[in-house]
Amino acid sequence: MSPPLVKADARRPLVVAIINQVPDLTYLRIDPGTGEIDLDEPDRVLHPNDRQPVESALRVKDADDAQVLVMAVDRQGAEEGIREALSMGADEGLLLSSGATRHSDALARANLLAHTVRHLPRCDAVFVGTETMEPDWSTVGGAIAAILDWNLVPGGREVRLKDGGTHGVAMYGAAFVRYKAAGPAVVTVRPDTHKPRWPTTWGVRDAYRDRTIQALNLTDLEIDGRMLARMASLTETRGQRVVRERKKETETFTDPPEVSARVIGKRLARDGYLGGF
Amino acid sequence: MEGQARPVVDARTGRAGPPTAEELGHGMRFRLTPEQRLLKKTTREFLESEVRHLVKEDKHGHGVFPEAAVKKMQEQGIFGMPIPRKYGGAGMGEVGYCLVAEEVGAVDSSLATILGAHTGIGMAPIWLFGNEDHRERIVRPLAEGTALGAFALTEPTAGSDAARIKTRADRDGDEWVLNGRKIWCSNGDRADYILVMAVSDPTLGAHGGVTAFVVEKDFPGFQVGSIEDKMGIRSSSTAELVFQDCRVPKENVIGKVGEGFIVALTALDGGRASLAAGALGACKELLGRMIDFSRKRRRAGRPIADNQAVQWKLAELAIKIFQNQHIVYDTAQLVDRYYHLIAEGHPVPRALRDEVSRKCAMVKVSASEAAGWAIEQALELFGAAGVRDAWDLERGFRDEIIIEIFEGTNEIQRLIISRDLIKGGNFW
Repeated sequence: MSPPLVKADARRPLVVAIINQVPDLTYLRIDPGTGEIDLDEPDRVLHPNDRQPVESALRVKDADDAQVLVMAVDRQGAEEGIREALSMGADEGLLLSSGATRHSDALARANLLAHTVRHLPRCDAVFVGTETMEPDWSTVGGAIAAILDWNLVPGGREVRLKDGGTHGVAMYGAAFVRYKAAGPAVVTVRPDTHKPRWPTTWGVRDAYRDRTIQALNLTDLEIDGRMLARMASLTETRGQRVVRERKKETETFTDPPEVSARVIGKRLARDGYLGGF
Repeated sequence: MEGQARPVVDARTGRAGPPTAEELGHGMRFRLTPEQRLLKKTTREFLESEVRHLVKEDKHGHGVFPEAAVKKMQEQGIFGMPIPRKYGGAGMGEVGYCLVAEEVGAVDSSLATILGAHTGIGMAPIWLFGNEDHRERIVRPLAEGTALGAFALTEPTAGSDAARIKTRADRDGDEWVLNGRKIWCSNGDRADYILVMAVSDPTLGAHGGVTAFVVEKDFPGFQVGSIEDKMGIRSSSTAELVFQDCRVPKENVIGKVGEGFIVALTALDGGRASLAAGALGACKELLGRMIDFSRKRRRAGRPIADNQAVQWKLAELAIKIFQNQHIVYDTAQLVDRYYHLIAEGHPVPRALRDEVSRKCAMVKVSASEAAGWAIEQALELFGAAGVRDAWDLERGFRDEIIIEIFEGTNEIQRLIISRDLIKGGNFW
């Protein structure tokens, strides 16, 4: 089953820009008592560095008449981030909603994004920003490429589509090299690659009134949430807080082994170490 | 549980929290929509990054028209805010226009003047009262940012008493012939299209005898006269316009012949709302600078922000901003409703027209005087540092004072307000 990407035209190239969103620093509030940032502040905006993959995708649109699909994994304010990308000129938005991935790690998100890309009617390139959401986000592009078994173009710029493949400039080590790759590619885009275009007033208006954002959940994508959780790496970000060291405790389970295993599994799932119980 | 409020889960965040006033049914919608918030944010970022450094002033010669800044803003769609999308505008109404005007006013009052002369009084009335041909032929390039607009009403012998204009318009076949002089025309020497008021029938007076025309810059008989050397808003150009047997095709009459005065008054009303938004932006900019300075500037080993006298200034300005923010956007919503009726050709109730005039006058007075007060307070706060060019307060002082004078002096606005009250206008 393909997700209902109603407007995507299978005859035209399709490129995907993956984005994140962060609290709007303009209205950032700091708790005077604790000195901590109030992360419950509702206004979220497109991460400044994530304008880069959007800009890269839009340049492909300008040069190769491609359609640009913006994709984000459900987090607070994800819709606002997508709207901002749409206001820059992207054509459609896709919001991947999944409780299981809400606080999951880069590998789980990469799996979800790669799985979604597979479901698209076509996809010629995926652009992912680096140094955007959190340190591990820089690994997402590589992980998507590995999962899809696509070419990986690190630090890509001037990327164009040709004969079913991509060509442009990539960064290997400290050097920029011209590359040409057959087949689709995942392009990671560094924060200093382009000067991103500003959303115009027409773009802002159209982003809210004329552009559509499809919300897909795991069922739409035929993904088993438990399987996705197992795909995650064993490390997991569990919110930004200081975890107090607990006193080591020993507990003896006297129930039959299968009952004890179930109790232990539930506790591990409750504490976020395991998914799917 | 009895007696305990039901926890409400926020639809966006999924968090439980107390119900909002809107959820309780007591709300008055004073919050920006997500679309308006994005518009404001992106406009602010764009202006800070791309425009602020382009706005320079030549204090000694004539002001330098910020051509590069205007071009960038035009390409950004900032010059077509209230015009519907189908005519090339952003289609974001008077509220959207005021949000943008506020951000522009925070950067530079001259730019806000150029934007206001183009949008509020130059282009909007052509869209409101013009026919489909006007909207396609004239409004579209103005809204898309490929042309600049202006509005010409004031004459050497008719300023605040605009009904006494003398520029004549005489019919000659398929054309009108204009003769006369206009002064204080913002954008006059730069504009591609100028909305000009002229007397088409001197026997009928202002109501019935004045007609609105669009004069294009290359029409024979039209020329730009002297350029004013002003105290403030020097980067906006203010021109004298001379019409000497200027031939205007009859297709360029806006609205009906003889109904130009209502076109002019509608233009001025809407223009005052956005002018107030620009002044509000200037107030916010000043408050930001005052807070910043009072935190950094140390006196007797302590930041001056510790002084109550400084705190009172900051608090007072914050109160004025809070007040003006609400009345400006409440009025902008009213103007949107008013414009919608006019643009769609619906009858406009007299009471609504009077309410718009009164409230636009109120916000113009309130916001412009707040900006004037704010710049005086800022200069006091900054002390000697404030008179240095580096802080741009000296320029702001010359700029903000003018807002109380143009587009109808604040004294005239007070007459508009009080006359409406005396004749029985509903002051709510």
